[in-house]
Amino acid sequence: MNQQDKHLEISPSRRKLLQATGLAAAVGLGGSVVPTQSHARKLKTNAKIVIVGAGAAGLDAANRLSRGLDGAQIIIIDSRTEHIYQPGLTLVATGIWKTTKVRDKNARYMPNDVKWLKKRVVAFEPSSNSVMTDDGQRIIYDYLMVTTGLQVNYSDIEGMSTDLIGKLGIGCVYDNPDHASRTWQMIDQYTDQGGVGIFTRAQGPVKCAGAPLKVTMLTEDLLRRKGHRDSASMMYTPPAKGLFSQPDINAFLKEEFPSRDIAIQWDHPLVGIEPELKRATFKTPSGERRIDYDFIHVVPPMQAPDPLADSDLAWQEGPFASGHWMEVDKLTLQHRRYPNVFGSGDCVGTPIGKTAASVKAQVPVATANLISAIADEPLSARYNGYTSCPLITRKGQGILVEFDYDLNMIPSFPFISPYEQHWFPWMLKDRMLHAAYNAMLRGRV
Amino acid sequence: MAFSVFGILAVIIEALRPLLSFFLIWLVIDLIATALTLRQRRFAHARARQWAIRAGLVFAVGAFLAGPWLTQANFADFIGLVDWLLLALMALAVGFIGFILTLPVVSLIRS
Repeated sequence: MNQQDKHLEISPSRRKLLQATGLAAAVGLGGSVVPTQSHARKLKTNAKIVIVGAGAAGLDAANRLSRGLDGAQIIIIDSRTEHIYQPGLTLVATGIWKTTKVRDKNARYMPNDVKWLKKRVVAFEPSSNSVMTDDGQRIIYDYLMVTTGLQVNYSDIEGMSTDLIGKLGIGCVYDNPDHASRTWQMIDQYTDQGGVGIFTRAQGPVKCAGAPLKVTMLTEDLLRRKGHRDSASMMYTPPAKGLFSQPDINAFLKEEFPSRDIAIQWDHPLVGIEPELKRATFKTPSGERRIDYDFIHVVPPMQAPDPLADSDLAWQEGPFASGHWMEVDKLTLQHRRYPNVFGSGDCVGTPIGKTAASVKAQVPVATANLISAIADEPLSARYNGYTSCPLITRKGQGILVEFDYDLNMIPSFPFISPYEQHWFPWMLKDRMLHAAYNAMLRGRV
Repeated sequence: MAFSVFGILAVIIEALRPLLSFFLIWLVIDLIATALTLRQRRFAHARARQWAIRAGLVFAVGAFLAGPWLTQANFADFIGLVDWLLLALMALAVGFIGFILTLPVVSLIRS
């Protein structure tokens, strides 16, 4: 064990002692669904907290824990130094934003008192309260916050690889600005030349499930603006018989797509592409179907990152087991079997969309409950499943969709109908949500 | 999603972050102008208020007209009274900020 290991290692048996310390100076939690840590007294503790992942959820959690705790040793582990504003990737992929607008640096949001290990976690070992990094270091924690994000499985689609994005009519908005930018090259070309455009949607939970819909509608809008709509045939291929989880928006889209001459091919999960032939293969209930295309937007299946998926932290059974999502209580975001482990963001298996808005609502709950756990108090914060999607229907218009676990609409702005297209949600998406996101990274909203 | 004053302020600061240095410089100029005009007992005198109101109006009308363009949209994208009212409210807010920011300077210039 090297010196750094010694410094980082803390005996797991300390937890009871830490809880006792925490009790002596417990913060005034309780009352509201999410206690407002910003105004609460800091909890004195010498707990060692490890956050895995410095994406939106990880940075938000680091800032909140840093402000909510006094004396804690907080470590965040992530080798990535660049931060991507992922909600902006659809606008990059459709030529509305430049990539510079979505590129940022994690360092800008990292709290000073949080130790940042620029490494990758390759294994979670919750039974020994430790994680392993890619250089073989074992890091022991008292409490763990898992915010790894998710993994896009390009190889689940036969013939697909990231190298193909931006070539041979293939686009994919997910993962990074480079993919989005290369997708824009393909969409720009398609909207100039027309032809058959296929817009796919993977089976299972995906990051920002509205993105494939937005890419479809913005491409259609661009075809009209360029005067080439008549030369293009568009189809959307959902893997099942729904377009959106929220029933009212599902009904809206079922009318909107046909009204814009976008054919819906139900039960069409994409299973393969032949890039040179520009041919896609779908596994339909009546067997495999091949369709030739000029442009295809590929949305690969997604799952929890391999180290998390392969660990005991993943769901072992139930609807989230196939994606190996992290097993958390959907209300408290505490792990159901490891009470010193919490999670938030795309990696958790909860029955709601994986969006930045979900992160914004989850992290205050997960961090407040982690602090309660340190203080050995009941976990009082509850996540109601809030998620949001500014569903951009065309450049200049959108619908602000906000709903909860029960799929009930819970609009933040009661005067804006969540059932009608308006300029205001577009303005939010184009001008305000990035600012709200950055404030979230600092743990301020 | 619940809002807090603290959260709204945090979002506004993030939205203005690229322009913060500009606003800070303007604020310093305003503070100096305010201090000088207060010493002369000429702060916010009638003529200065008139000029500041005019400036505020220019800001408001400019924001109203440029609002859609700044969001890469146009007036054809406005649907229903809500969009127009929200744009008008935002223009009023910009106009008010313009009034507040110009008042100390015009108080000094027109004193």
